[in-house]
Amino acid sequence: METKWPPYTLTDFSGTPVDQLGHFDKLLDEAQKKGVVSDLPEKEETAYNLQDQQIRLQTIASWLHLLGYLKKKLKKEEIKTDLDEIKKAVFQFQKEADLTQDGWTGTETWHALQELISFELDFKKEQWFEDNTIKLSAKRAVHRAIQLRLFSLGLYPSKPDENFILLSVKALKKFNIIIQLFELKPSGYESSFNLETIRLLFDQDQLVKAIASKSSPDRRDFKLMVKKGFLKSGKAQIKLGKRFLSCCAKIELWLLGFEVPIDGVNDYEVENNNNLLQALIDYYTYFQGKSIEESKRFAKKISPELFISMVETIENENTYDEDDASHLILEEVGTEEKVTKAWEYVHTKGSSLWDGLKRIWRWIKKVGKKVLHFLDKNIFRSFFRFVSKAYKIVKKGVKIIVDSITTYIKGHLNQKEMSYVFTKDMDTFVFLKQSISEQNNKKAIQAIQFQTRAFTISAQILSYVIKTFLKVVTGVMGWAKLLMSLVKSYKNIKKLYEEFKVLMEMKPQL
Amino acid sequence: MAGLADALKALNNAVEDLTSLHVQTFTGTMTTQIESAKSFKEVKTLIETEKNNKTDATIELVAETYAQFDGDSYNFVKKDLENVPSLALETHKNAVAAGIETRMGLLKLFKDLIK
Repeated sequence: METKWPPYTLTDFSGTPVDQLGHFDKLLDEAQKKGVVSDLPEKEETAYNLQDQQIRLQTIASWLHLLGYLKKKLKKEEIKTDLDEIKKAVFQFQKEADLTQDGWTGTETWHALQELISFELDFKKEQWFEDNTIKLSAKRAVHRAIQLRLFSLGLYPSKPDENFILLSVKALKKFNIIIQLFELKPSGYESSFNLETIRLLFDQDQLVKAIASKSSPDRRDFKLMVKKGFLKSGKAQIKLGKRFLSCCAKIELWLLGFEVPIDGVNDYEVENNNNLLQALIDYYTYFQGKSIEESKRFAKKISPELFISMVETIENENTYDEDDASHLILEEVGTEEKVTKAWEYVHTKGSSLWDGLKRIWRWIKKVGKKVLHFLDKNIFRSFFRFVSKAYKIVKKGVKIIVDSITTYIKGHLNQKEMSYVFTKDMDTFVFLKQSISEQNNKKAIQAIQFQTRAFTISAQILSYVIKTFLKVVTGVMGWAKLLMSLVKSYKNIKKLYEEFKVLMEMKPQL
Repeated sequence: MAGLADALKALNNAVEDLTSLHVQTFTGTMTTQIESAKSFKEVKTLIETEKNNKTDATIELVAETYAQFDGDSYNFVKKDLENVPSLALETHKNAVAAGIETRMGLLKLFKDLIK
């Protein structure tokens, strides 16, 4: 990996507080322009700017490929030449997912794609479902995601592609057998494309728990609920169950950062897949603390032991604590050298599928840091995920401060039947029309409360990050210092951001 | 306004004194004139003009707060509130709170930068 940081030119933080705030804002902008951080674009002009969106575009392209909107999987160097193809694919996805059709990926499209692809995120019912049925307007996008999920679990022959057609209920036939084999639902349950079935299909933790519950007492075999005359012969049902087991194992190992393919192939007899064999040996040795010999024995086939140990991490997790995770990640990427390595890795390899963070957190919680060198790549990706999240919060804060100051400088905040006029020193003249309605009066009060609170929260966010940058993260230079400051601040600024989000929900309609 | 630096510089150039806060709440019939006034000075002129009965519009001071952050302050509330909008005093109170909070936010932001 021969990637180097882009030039870091802002070394002077002297001057008045106003100068220093200006320097910091400039540094944040430079970080984005030079591709050190990747914030979601807010307008079309920046969405396809390769210099600052390369990593994100790579991720978007791989998601679109998985859902069948892009014909081929683009390599890093192909992104530049295939931007038009990506645009077309984004547009098509937006059309099929009932999103704003503008051909570029902002917050709305990014989150929609992420929900349909991720193994760790819950999807928003109201976005994709109406009552218990998939929304007609988003049906094609959701059906593509269902096909992809079925394929990943070994329950459908292919992932969606450019010739995609809507699925029929028959597509769920194999999943119905899995429901029966692993007793995921009461006997006689009939699945269709309803909310309950799709939620179950997308709930990876639930599937792993169901698998683990089917272990024989000695943890060597699975006891599946084969039902005679149920869709397929008993033998065929067992074969399907094995395929499902091996696919689930590959998904879980992949989420932990192991180099195993999610290919829908039946690798229950593990010897046929060297990558999987090695991943399992490493898993049992380093995650489970077994001897090499014992690990090799367990790795010969997909064993209940694998899923039971994974369930223990799920049950160990009361609730996933993102703040806790950001600190754990920072402890691991806590030196200039490691931040540089992380940046080089993410810059070269892309950010993969942006998945796996929960599992890293669970494992560190369960077995401590001894597994960390196996999670290196995901640790790097996670570090940048927190960088992105923190960066987004800070930039939003800066924007609100600028907007508020602009209102003050402009000297006016006019509402219906009421005006606030500000002096240069923020002294305030309030004028209410004598006949102002109570409703308009209340709205005007809310307007000034909103502006003030938003400004205060934003000032706190910016203040916290700058203080961390100038006074807390010491002994680190250049871009690494900025990135570490962002991750270190994340826990505190996220709390403020949550407050801000509540405020936004109450924002008066003016 | 492009970025934070520009906004802060504009504010820095405009602000003369953040150590005191003056909020005045008026009510009346001059809505259009007030909304189109471009500055506080212009609003003051409008009020003066009205006081000299040169326009048909009316304007009346309902409440006034002046607070110096070293301690001195005064509050004024109109005695007869009969023809005053019911939420006028709450509006005034909120404008005072907003002025204080914004100043504190700014001062804290600057304070954190002083090494």
